Amino acid sequence: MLSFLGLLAVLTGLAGAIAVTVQGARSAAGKSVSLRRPVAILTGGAVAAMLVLETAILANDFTVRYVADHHSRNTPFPFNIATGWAALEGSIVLWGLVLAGYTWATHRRYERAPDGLGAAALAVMGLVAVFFFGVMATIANPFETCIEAAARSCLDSSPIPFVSASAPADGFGPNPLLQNHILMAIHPPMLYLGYIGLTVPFAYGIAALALGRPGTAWLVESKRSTTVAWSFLTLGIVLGSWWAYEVLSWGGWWAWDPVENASFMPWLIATAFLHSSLVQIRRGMLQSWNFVLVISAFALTILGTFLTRSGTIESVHSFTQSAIGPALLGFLALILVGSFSLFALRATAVAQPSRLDSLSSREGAFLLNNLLLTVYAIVVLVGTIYPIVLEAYSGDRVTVGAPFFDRLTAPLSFGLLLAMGVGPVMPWRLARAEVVWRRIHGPLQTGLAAAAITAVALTRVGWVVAVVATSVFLISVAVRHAWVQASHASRVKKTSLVAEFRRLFQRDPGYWGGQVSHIGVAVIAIGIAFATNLSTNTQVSVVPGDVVQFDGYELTYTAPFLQRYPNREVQGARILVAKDGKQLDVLEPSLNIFANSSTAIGSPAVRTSLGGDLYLSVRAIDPESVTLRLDASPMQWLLWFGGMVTAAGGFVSYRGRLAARRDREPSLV
Amino acid sequence: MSEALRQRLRLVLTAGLAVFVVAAVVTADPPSEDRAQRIGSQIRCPVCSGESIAASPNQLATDMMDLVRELIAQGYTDDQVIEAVISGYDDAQRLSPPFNPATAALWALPGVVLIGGGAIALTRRRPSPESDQTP
Repeated sequence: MLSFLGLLAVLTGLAGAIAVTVQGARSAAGKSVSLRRPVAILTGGAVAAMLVLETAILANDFTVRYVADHHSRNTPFPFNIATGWAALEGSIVLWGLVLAGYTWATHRRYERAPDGLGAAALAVMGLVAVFFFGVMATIANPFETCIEAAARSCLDSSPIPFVSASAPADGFGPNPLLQNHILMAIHPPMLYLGYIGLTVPFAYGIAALALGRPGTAWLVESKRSTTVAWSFLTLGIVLGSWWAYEVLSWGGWWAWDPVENASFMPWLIATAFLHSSLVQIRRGMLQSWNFVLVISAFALTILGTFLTRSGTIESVHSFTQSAIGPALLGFLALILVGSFSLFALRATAVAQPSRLDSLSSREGAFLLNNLLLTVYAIVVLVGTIYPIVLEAYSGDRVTVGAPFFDRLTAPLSFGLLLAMGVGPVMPWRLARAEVVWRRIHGPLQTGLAAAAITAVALTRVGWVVAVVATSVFLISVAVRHAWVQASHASRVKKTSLVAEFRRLFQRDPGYWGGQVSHIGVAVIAIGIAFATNLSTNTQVSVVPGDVVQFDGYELTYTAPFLQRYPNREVQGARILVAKDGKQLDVLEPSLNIFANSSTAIGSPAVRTSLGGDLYLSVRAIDPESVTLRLDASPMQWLLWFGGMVTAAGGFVSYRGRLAARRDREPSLV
Repeated sequence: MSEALRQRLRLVLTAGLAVFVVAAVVTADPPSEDRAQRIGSQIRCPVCSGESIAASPNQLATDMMDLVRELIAQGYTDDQVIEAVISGYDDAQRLSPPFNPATAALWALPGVVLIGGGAIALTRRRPSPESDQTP
């Protein structure tokens, strides 16, 4: 029954997607047609599909193959809900739902002032939805009926509803990695909201090309969606990294894993696009470049999905292998060939009406930022796919790991940090040296003072000191800028300083939201520098009663413990944490042995304080002794905090006004 | 105090701080680094998914790390240690791929794009900033 309802929902969504495409194209061609009903059908189908899948999971309906293969009666809340999108077919259902949501929001915006551009953009979004709902209806159907059941999974299934169903008494349950931390249930939907949101600017870009209207309208119309997508993508990456740190017990937070890279590449290009679109809106430059960026950003989200979901790349994330790989690759090829052909056809319409006056200007800084971000994305892209391409062509095997990425991205990151510090206070067109100097000399002193304190108190390692200097400089530039404007206004208007700070954000949320994001990135940079350079670790084997001194802590191993849950067995060590004779905490790092997996999954125990994290993970455990890895990372929280601030800045600037304001350049003192 | 004098004092203060920071960094002792950790992070754990032997809790990785420490104690250089530990495996055990014809594109591409992109950006500039009349 649920199989039938689910398939019905998918087919409804598909019909809606086709209708949106057709009606959108007709409307763009000048016909007077309403898009309301097609969009409603698409959205309704997408919502229904997700609801039916969740219902099947919550009702333990193992006649649905997806449920039999990925759910188990004893999967606890909220991981049972998350199972709805944790595996391949379900993730496509979520994709369809989010895409329908963005389509619905775009349509609402379109309805207020219907025009050809919006209609054409909706047609493009409909076309993308046709692909995903088409995939759901065929090769990745989440509602297939199980017709031959094994003990805890489904052996054979049929896409036809109402065949005589067979069901295992219980299912296998989700991948163990997916069911031991709350962040695992949260971060993928965040990433999806980010990935799929990039469809909106892509659709507007293609619409602008198709209609031969390469002005700024498409950028202005899609700006809100781009900002929302970017903010969610940021949040998803940060939460994913936090999850890896809390769960994967290797003490790290970023491994240049292909799946991390898959989310990072569109982020880099979307970041470049956010900045370069501003240059076009303000100064009319970079028209063609913006098309290149928006097409690339969207293509990278599809490439990312391909890398994650096809099992092409060996990675802890690639737990799915199926026919979806070739389909995604074909879709990717279609996007690239189709989009860039259209772009080439319209090359004459996409002229460059305005050129750069001087490299020393706001747009010059944006140009540098775009160059660095693009090269950054190319480093990540090439490093990620080079091994696959090389092996496919020559059979040579090569591994591109963290040392490669670290070496190439470190200077790029530093360059970006510098550009972020100086860029925002450079006037448009031409920044005269004395103007810039007046705006930065105070912050420069603050940055250098912070560097001096770091060198005296913490470390004299060159690059750490340099990162602290640059980051603190960047933060002070932004804070000084806000302070100068707000205090000036409050003096002139005799209003309170707090009110003037609030007014800054109300008047130009786009700019100040961006500044908040910059501050967040600077905090992340300091966090990375500290965590990488000042962290220490060691490995110890202890028996009950042993006391270990580590990083100023006194760690006492009291006893092993064993806990049995319906879905797993937990073997752990109870460790008393004390400092200066004062008992602080009891930490219980453990190994999880899941019913459906032979490899043990470590659950580290983390004690977070303002000063830093104490991070314990079990390497091996038996009744007599335990081998522990001990990590001390100073101010690790800076990373997550900085990430949240970065994302928050995006959400602030979401409210940004869209019109170009050439004549209201904020006056700086 | 005149504005010019204040300006000069600021400049002196900034320069002084900069000199102090640079001097502190330059005169720092080389960090007492964990060589085994650094070398281990360059070698891929053969039985794990994309982890280095320094990061992996796997038994084979632990054994390989022990070998790394032993070879360091015997006076091997970094390259010799890596060479010895991955003997019997291929170059795919190196997490940082060696530069050779097969990996030339990997190493060169980012630099080529950086220089090419920079060149394009520079040539797009107007000959004279004063000639601009259009907004």
